[in-house]
Amino acid sequence: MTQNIIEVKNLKKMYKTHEREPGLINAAKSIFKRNYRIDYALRGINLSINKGEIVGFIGPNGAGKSTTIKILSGILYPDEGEVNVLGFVPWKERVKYVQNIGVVFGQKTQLWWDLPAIDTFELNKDLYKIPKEVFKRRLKFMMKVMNVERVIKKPVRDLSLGERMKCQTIAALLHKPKLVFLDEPTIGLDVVAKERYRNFILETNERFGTTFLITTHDMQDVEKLCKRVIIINHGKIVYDGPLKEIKEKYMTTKILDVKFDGKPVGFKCKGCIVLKRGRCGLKIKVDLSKKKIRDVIDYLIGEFEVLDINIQDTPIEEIIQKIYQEKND
Amino acid sequence: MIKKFLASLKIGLKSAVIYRFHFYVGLVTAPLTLLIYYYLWKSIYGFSGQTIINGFSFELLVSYYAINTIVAWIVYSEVDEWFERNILNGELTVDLIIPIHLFPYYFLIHQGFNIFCLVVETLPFLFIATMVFNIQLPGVGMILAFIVGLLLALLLNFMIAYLVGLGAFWLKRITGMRRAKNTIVMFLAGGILPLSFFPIWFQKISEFLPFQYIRNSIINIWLYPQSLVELLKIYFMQLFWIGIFWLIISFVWKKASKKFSGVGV
Repeated sequence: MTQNIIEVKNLKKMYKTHEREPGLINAAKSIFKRNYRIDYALRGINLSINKGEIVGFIGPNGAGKSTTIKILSGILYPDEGEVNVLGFVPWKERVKYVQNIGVVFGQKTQLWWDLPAIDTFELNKDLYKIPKEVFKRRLKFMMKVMNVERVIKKPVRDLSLGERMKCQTIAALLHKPKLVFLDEPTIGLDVVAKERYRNFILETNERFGTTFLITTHDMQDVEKLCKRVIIINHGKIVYDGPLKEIKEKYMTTKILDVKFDGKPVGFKCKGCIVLKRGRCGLKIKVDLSKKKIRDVIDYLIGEFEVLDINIQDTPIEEIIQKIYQEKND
Repeated sequence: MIKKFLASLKIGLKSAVIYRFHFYVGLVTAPLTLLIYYYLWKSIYGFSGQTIINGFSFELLVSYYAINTIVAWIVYSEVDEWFERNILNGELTVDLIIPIHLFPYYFLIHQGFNIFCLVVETLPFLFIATMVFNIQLPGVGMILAFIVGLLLALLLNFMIAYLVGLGAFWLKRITGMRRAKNTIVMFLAGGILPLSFFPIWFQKISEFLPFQYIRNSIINIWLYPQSLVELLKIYFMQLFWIGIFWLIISFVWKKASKKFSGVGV
């Protein structure tokens, strides 16, 4: 059973910003004459998302991820295009619409800053008309999974970023929304908390069929959570398809950051490119189609005095570049 | 609907309790300000040798300033500052993802503050004023009429601040505009001097403006027994201006919400 929850057609949004050159004289000039620049945040986006999907929405900074999320959650008006989410046009009938969704902005907090998180939860209980029993049960369940029982009575301003993020997610999910937008939700979480957080999302998705649209810079999030990925760049969608395909086709390199005891002399390895040569370190790009990561590490440890190795995924920018290349070929 | 409204009121009240010290300070400074007015006018009356100035005896004028303080506290609104702050740092986005309209949400949060202010600031001040400055209470009927006028004034003053706040959607920083508004409203509402101290032509114009119905007219209900016709005239003007501001705010809000870009998220 598939059912479209989000339907977006040719969505466009531009921002008009004024800019000026640095310096006092230019500041004075700008009093009389302002130079406006029009930035296109979105240049015609099409997408549709089915009920129950967890979709990763990724792209470099300024690509238009947050703008899309803000339009889809009813905060921004687009300049052009059609949007239908759960049968609503988000920016019309905002109040009725947001009853059905949950939004977490990693950079902002919905929680009342000077009050304990529990006060915001109770406010949301009444704003979303959640029955008392349901509220209690759900809160208890979520607090346990997220491990925040101890912090919900502390003023939010005293919480760590990670604790706040978890409480924020609880606040956004208390009313069992059918659709949830998570905008960089795992910022500030440690490794254990990230794992818990991801499991919580997976569980919510499985138990209630909640649909998630997640933006993140953490490829681990995407790998653990999403079967489908949408990549956006310069306001356009450059890829929309299964994560598997991306992994097989484009995530074909890994970056090794290696620290040595002393200067590494004579590093030579097939399928590896040295990106940066430091005094006691090397940054190496490994082409996985030519060489296994294991073999490279074996070689390094066998031949050199290795102090530390750090393995990173292909940066998103590189994936995008490859996608473009393939399109042009 | 009622539940949503009560919840907003409650959260406002809760955060007011956090800032309680802010209110205690007000309770110290307000009687001091009144004392300054007391001695200022005492010397003016003494120097002029008159017992009545512009229809005010010295005692009546002190009462005017005392009630002025109470009215000013109750109708107080800083929603324009909220808009400025929330638009500058983008926090407005989080107020737009919850299922309640912004106007009642902000209004009721504000009234939550005001209820706390009433209990810890306004009523104790009234007590001090009646004991120290010998302020007279009007009859029960006039107190009720005063409260009705006060509630309408509260809404009217909130709407003026709300409208100025919406200006932040275009101008971003509206600190200057807010200060100008505060001064103009304070002056035209009779917050510095009773309006009967001004020329007749000025008073005539003022009757058609919204400002005196925020303070001066309400204070008068306390000071002088009013006929039913006079009371209805005040209420009518208040409701009239509330209606006008409602229309303007609805219109401006439609434009403003399209203007919002939700920075920094």
